[in-house]
Amino acid sequence: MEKQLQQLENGLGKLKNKGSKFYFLTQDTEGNAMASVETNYRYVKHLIDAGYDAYVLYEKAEYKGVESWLGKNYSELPHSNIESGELKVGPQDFVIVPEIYGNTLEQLMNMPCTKIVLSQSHDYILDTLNPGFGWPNYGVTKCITTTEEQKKHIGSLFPTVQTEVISPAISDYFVPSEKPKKPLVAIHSRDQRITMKIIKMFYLQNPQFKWLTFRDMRGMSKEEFATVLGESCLSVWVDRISSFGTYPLESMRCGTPVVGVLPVMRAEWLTKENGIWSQDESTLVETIGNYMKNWLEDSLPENLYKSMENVCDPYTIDKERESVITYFERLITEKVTEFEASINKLKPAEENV
Amino acid sequence: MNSKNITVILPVHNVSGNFETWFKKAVTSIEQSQVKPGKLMIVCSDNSEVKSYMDKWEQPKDVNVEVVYNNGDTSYCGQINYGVEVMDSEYFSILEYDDEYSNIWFKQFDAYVGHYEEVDIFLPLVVDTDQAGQFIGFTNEALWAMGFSEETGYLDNNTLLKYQNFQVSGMIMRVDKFEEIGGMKSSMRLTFNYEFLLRASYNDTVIMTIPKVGYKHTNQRDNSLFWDYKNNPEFKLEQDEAKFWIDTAKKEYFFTTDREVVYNN
Repeated sequence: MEKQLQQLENGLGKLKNKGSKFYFLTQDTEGNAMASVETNYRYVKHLIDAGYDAYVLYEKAEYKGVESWLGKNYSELPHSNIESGELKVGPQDFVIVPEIYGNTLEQLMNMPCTKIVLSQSHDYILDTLNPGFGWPNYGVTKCITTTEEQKKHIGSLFPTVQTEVISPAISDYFVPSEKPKKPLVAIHSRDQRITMKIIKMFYLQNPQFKWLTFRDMRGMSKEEFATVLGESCLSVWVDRISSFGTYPLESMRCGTPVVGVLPVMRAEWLTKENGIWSQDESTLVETIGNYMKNWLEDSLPENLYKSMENVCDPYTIDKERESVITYFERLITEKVTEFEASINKLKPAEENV
Repeated sequence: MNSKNITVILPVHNVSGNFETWFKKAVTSIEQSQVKPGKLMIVCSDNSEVKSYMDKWEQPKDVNVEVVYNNGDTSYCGQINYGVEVMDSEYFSILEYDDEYSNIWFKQFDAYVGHYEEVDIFLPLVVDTDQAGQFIGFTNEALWAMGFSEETGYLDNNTLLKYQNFQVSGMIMRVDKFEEIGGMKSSMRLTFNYEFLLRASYNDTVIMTIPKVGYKHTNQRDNSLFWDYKNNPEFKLEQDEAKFWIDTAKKEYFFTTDREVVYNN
């Protein structure tokens, strides 16, 4: 009992002195840009900047990292590897697992730390869970997600899990190009096949626009990604299972209007005014053609640009940092209370008098 | 720098046939521009028929119009050269009497010129139509196709040597650069457009297409010069002659002076 008491007091000391560890399990994108992974890295950076001990946690030793697309500011953040046995946690520590890693929850189940699911994509929640099993079966009691809609969805699946919404930030380097927009169409879809299908259909149905260039927004550094988005006159977005919709917001921040297919679950920011939305892909190509005709004739409705202007205001790095720090500090406070209660229970009666 | 520094040259060679209908449309397109050029200069052949028409013509109130008469070379190229010689603005543009500007063209110039100070010629995205106004296709647009020219959006000499189909009507050009390269050549009967652009690009003129619809060009209007070349038995061009003029343009663009060219079949 004395040993247990000592462990708890140790842990309490770490909790109170920013000695707890925060591990963010992160997907290896093999050098490709991915908004959800960038969010993980930003969370780690926010915590480190606030003086906490946070790590990017990865599974395989041959993890490729993010330097090629996120740069050194992020790639040089502290990393920790599961395979090499670097993950050692105590009750005062926190492991944050993306929903796509549902299978990892089983391995983490017996670890004494706090397990939190970071759910950025509702469509993956059930993918790796066994039928009849939910996050609570693996000791998960808390979840962070990105929209109210997703929070509702998670609540319907796992009513005992406490879910908090933290909206991701749209990075500051997304800005409109200083020069007038170019006849360039940035296109982003979850499936490259869809991207190619749209481009081919567009050229077949609009031979007069064969000279327009489409840029598939895959496989570029964040800087190049932001530059292309800033220069483009149109951004095409097809992601039916999107949860938050980082890409269209990045586009709007660049002053680039979005033609897109409405996702199944709509984020709060998405309104019929701030983009040109189709119910399905079949009408998308015609919409792109009409948009381009209007862009070339400078006859797009002014209110489209106006509605895009303030959409990104709530999604700044500062606001995200504040939300992340507030959230984790609240968890620490809760944990301190828990630890103190456990210590009081374990202490001899006279010490509690 | 803005559209106030542009003089539009509208050459008038004769006023017969449907001239009035087309001419009115051309002038109206300037009247309806969202941003107007500094001046519309109508460069007329110095003959009684044209003079009589112009004397009766009611000038639009909100366009600054000047009518001048040229008693020298009154070919299309000659009229442009004359107009540039007598104007006093920094830029000029060319409006054919059977064509129209889009109402956004000068506004677009204002939006682009500040960002592209190195550019000497801004080409418009030209909409080619038939006589009934039906869309045929675009011209000058290919420069924005990825990999078409050396730098996307810009026209260079190597690209011109491979592709001839560019349109200078509607373009907005620096007057000093026009004078430096020697103006337009009347001797280049069929390929004056092409030779001019070859010579301009050869002499470091920076040419760019503004990717916005700026000009509506009526293609193959009945009795137009190019209609004659294609359909009029008297002027019809054979394939060999067309090739001759292209080859000649490729030889002549090295020279800034307009040298006499004779086609011998």
